[in-house]
Amino acid sequence: MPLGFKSCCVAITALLSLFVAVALCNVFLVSPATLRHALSDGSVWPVVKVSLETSLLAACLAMLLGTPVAYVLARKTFFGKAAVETLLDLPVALPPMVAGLALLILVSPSSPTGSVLAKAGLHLIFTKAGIVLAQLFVALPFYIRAVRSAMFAIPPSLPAAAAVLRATEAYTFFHVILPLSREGMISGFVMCWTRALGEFGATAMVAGCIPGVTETLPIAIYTRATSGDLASAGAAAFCLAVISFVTLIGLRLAFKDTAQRRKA
Amino acid sequence: MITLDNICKRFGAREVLRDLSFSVASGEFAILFGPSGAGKTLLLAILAGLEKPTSGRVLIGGSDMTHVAPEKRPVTLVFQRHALFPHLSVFENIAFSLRARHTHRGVVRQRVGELIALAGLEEYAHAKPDVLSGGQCQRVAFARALASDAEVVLFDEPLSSLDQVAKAGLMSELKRLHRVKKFTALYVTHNLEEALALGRNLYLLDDGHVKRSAQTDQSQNCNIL
Repeated sequence: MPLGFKSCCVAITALLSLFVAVALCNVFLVSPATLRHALSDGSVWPVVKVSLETSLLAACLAMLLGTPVAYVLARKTFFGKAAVETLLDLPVALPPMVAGLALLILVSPSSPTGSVLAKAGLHLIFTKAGIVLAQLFVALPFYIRAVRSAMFAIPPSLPAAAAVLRATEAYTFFHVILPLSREGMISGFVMCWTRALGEFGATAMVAGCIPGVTETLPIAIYTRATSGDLASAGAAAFCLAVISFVTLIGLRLAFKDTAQRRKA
Repeated sequence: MITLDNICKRFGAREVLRDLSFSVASGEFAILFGPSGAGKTLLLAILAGLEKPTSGRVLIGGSDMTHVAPEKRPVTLVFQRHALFPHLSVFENIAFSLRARHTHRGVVRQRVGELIALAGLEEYAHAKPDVLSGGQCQRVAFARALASDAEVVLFDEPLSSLDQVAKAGLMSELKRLHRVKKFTALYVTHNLEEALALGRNLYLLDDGHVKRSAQTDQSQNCNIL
C-alpha cells in the first residue's frame, strides 16, 4: 500500500474513532453525584425494567419466529421468494414512525384486525404487549438476515449427507442446521435485541409513554430531555449506553475463540 | 439389486443423462467410470434420491423408488469431500444415522464402537473432523455410511483428493469392508487406475448414457477401454 494512501486511511480511521469517542463521552462521563441523584429518585429503574423486559421478549419472539423463516429463505426455492424477502426486509428501510403508524392502524380497535384482537382480549395500544409488537416488527429483519446468511453458508452436501443417512428434514434441522447456524443465531439475537432496546418511533406510536407502564429508555430520554430534566435524561442515556456497550463487549468475547480458531 | 430404467435428466434444454439403463446385482461392487462432467455424480444423486430424474425409473430391490424421499431409501452415499458434520466428533458422526432412527443408546454405543474398530479410528473417536487427515476423514465417512444399514452404498469419487499412499491404503480398506459387510456398491471415478484396482464390473458412462460394460480380470486388463 503506498504510504500516502495508507496514511490517509489511518487518519480517517483515527478521526472517526475520535468523533465517536467524543460524542459518547458526553453520555458516559456523567458526574457520579448527578448519576447517583438521578438513579436514586426511583424514576429511571422502572424504565430500565420495562425496556429490558420488552426488548428481551421481542428478541426471544424474533428467534422463535425468525429461525424457521430464515431456514425457508436460505434453503428453499419457491415462486415469489424474492418478493417475500423484500417484504420481510422492508421494516429495516421503513422510517420507524411509518412502521408505527402502520401498526397503530392495524391494531386500532376501529380496524377489522384490531376488533378481532380486542374480542380475543388482546389489547396492544398503550400496553407493554404493544411495545413488544412494535419492537418485534422493527427488529425481526435483523435476526432473519443474520440467521439466513449463516444457514445459507452451510454447504449443501451436509443436509444431503444427513438425508442419505436416513435423517428426516426435521431431525436435520435440529441436529445439523441449527448447531451450524449458532453464531448467526447469537449475533442475530443480539442485533435484534439491541435494535429493540433502542426502538423509539414505532414504540411511541403504538404504546405511547405511560410512566412505569409503557415508558422505555429511548422514550424516557426524549421526554425528559425535551422537558428540561437533563440529569434524568442523562442517567437514562447512561443506562442504555452501558447495556449496549456491555452487550457489544460480550459478543466480541463470545466469538473471540471462534475468530482465533478461524485465523489458525 | 439396483436398476436404472431409461433414466433421462434435463436441465433446461441441456440433456445430461439420456435413456440410461443398467443394473448392479446384489452384493456386487460395480465401478462407474467416466470423464469429468459425464454426469456420474448426478446419476448417484438420482439413485440416492437427492435429484429427481426427468423421466425413467429407479428400482432398488425390485421396488420403484423413483419418487421416494432419500431418507426412506435403502441407499447411502459417500461424498467426494467427506461431508462430515464439523460440529460432531468422529463417534457422533458415525452414530448420526443410528440416532436419527432413534436406536437405543446401548445399541448405538456398541455399533459405533464396532465400526470405529473396523475403520481403525479408536484413537480419534472423540476428535472433531477438523483435526483429521483426508484419509482419516474418508474412513469416518465409510464407517458412517455403513452405520446407516443401507443395502446399497454409493461412492462419489471418495479417494480423488487423497495422495497415492493414502489412496492405496483406503482402496484395500474399502475392499475389506465390502467383503465383511457384503453391501451392494456403486463406485464412480474418472481415474482409470482406481477403477481397475477396485472392482471387477466396470460401466462406462459417456455422453449421457452407459455405453459399455465388462468384467476386468485378475491381471486388471479391461477389454472395454
